[in-house]
Amino acid sequence: MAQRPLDLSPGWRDTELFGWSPMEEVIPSRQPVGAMDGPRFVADCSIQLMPWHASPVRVLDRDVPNVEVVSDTGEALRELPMKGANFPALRVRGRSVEDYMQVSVPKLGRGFGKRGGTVEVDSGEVFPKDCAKPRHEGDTDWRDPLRDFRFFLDHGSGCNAGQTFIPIARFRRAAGLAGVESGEMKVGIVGVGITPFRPTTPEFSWKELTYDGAQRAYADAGIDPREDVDTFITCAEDYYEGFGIFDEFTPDQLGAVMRPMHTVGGDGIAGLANAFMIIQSGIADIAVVESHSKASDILTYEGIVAHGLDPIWNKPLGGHPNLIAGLEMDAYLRASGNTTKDCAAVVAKNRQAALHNPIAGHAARVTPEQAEGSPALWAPLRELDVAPLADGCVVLVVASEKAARNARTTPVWIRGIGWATETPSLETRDWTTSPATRIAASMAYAMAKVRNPGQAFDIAEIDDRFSYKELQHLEALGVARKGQAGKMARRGDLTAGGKFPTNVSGGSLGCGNVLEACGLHRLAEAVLQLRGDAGSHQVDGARNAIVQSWRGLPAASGGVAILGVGK
Amino acid sequence: MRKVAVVGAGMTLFRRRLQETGKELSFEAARMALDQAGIEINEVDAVIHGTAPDAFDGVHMKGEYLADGSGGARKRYMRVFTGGGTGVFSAIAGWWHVASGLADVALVVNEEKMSSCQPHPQSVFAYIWDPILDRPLKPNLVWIFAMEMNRYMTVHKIPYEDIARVAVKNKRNAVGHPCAQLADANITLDDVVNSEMMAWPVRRLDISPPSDGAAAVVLASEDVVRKRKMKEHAAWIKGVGWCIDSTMWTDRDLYFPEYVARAANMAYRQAKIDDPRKQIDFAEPYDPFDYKELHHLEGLGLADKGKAGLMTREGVTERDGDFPVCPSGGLMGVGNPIAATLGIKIGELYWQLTGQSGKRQIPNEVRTGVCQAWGDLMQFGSVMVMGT
Repeated sequence: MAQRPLDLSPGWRDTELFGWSPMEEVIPSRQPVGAMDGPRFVADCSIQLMPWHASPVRVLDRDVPNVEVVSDTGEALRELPMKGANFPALRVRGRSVEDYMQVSVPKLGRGFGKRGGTVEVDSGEVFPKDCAKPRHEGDTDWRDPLRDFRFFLDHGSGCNAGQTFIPIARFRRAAGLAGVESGEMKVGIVGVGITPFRPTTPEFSWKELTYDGAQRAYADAGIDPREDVDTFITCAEDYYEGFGIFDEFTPDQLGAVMRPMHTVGGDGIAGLANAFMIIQSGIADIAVVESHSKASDILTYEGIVAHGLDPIWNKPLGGHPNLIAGLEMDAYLRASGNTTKDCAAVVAKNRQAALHNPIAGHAARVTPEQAEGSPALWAPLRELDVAPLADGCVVLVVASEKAARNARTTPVWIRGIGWATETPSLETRDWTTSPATRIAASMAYAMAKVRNPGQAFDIAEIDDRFSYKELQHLEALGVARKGQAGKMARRGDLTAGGKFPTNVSGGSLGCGNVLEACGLHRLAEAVLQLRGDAGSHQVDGARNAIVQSWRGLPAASGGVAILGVGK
Repeated sequence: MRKVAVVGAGMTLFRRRLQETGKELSFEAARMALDQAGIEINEVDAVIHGTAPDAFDGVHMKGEYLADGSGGARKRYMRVFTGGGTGVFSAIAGWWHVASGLADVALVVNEEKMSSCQPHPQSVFAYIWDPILDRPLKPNLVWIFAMEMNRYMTVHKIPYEDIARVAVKNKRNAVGHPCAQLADANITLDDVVNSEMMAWPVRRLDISPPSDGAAAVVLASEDVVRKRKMKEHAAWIKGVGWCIDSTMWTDRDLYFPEYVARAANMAYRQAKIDDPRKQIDFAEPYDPFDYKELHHLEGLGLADKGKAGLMTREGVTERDGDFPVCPSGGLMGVGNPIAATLGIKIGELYWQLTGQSGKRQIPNEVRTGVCQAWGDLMQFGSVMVMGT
């Protein structure tokens, strides 16, 4: 886009007046590194002050750093002096659209949102080229703040007298998440290591498997764990590992000896959330998150899962614990209107997608008919609806903004993250809508300022340890409307070439259930897609991804992460 | 980084074989902490749960199982796990939930129910060893701590009586503690020295008892403390640190806990403490065995190597001494439900700093305290510095 010539007013350099100056050497801390010297955006608007307005009217009803309003002569305005005066060519300019979003202009009536106002952003890299114009007529895509702005500008609806200009603050309050702030620092994923998933790995111990995954991630990020990494995190559960205190066995194979390291009893996204918070707290720049599965060492997987049930009320009932998934599938399908055919389509899609993923452990040319014809062991849940176990290790390197800029790879930013737990009690939990996913998603959306999740993402990596779970999670995330996820699966919308590519990696159904590493695997695959490094299963032009995880039976907790490249 | 304060704490009775389930214990402690802070559960943004081996309760994914007991259902809920170090570490995790800005109020709940493990929790500890190198030797925790204690005594030529004095001090300190399991106002040095030999040089009274219990603390950001006018009963977290050593415990010299020293350095750096002996007023080091208190005092830099025993002999570490250590009674006196020792470490620091310790209150004014927990296979240290 053409860059507007900067017409600097006399007061423009005055840091006291505006809190910043384009001529300053030091870029204010809240600006992303590499911010341009001039204003990032210039927006035209006109204001008609009505006779009933109190005079004078402050243009910005509170101080917003880095944003100012100038008149057509280039004069900076803080107040509009006269009642009834017309300001046909005001210009709002500032350094980042995020700042602009906070601008609140009181008492301006309908004039401010005048149809035909223009926004120009003077950096083509910052926003996708098409972002200033809606993709389709009437598209209300909220993907990025600029579009929000554009929408309000075009429709003139964002600025009733005295209202906050852009309702992000309102949205936050509505979600009950006033406490969620994305903090001051961006956090990105700069290294990924995945070992190929296999049904059994007799030649490696779990330690060697972890070492393999870790050195892949360190090589990818170009770091030395003994010097560069500030903290390490392992996501693991004692029973899966066969140890009393598994935390003991985590440091050596990661290069974490004599360093801050801890274990999270949660899935990969819970681990990432810890890394995110430690970095945001300012006590670490680079964190490593690891999780692995050596499921082939487990003799009685269903026995372990059964031990996750309430020891007094549920475990004594006996039976294979997958029957809980069968019950949940039944409840979900009845409530949502999806069918077992839709689930079979998910099985076929993911098993076949995995054929393109070199690390997948259970890729196969499964058809929906075969999936539907497999034995209904826990009806309506069939044998092929269950993700088979696999061995593997996934390691991510997470970095603060400063460290990420120096990394070897393109940083994939964590735009939002959320995690939540539903009650563990089988008797009282909600079996149909995955509330943990909903709560986690609302937190992540508030942080990433996502309003319309259906339009906000290019790809998704969603937990699919049971086929129906992929559909349930898509609906819980709001990326599919209730009862529509199944239709999307059958129409082919969720395939690599479809409208909303979901689990093009093959998911857990195709790659294998790697226990607590499932969440990290979903993250790692999304990171590779966004970097353009996914190879034979790359989705072209993917820039934003949503990642969701579930901890597996019998838990009802999960996490959501929103990843993006650029900016 | 936002400032974070502890604004409430609670702990249940510590006893072996309490009638309550783990969920009920968690609820009881969480309720007490929230009541003390004057905060309702719906104002809590995130719940952090700490609990040590799943095998004690015999429940896989124990964190999930306890979620509704500790108020974590339908909330941001996180379980962290660093063996015995969880006692302080879960509060560190709570600290970063608030310090990072992702939560304004966080509830940290730690629970342990060791008595479900029959006949004795020691049987769980059979599964903490390397399955190839250690497990065939059928080691037992008391044995390896006897090795560590012996090494510590041998290197520094410390007489056994100096170590036994710690047990006497802590069991006497615990007399004022309403949750204490093994408080004894009349215990003497002879009682400890003459108690049953478990594995030389460890006697029965050198060991803290296994226990059931739960503890909880409420953390709040500076904004919340100001808005809710909680400053009067808030203790600020000044620094946190944690560090893990290699799994291969046989490869290190057991006479000094280097991992504790590194964790302490991390916390002191953040708390801007250059001279811990002058800038810190009292300490709550982890004391599952009496020699561990001395060991950890040296690791924390609060005593010269080999001199912590002398401090105990001279009475410096008594509650009314120059540098009170374990004024709560510690694990030796109050009990050792592994992760629930949160209440003896973080909880006691909070109560002492805000003057709410009642009979256990240190007579001298205290402004800065340090607490520490130790875990895994003699390899993990977590340290927190708190002040007013």
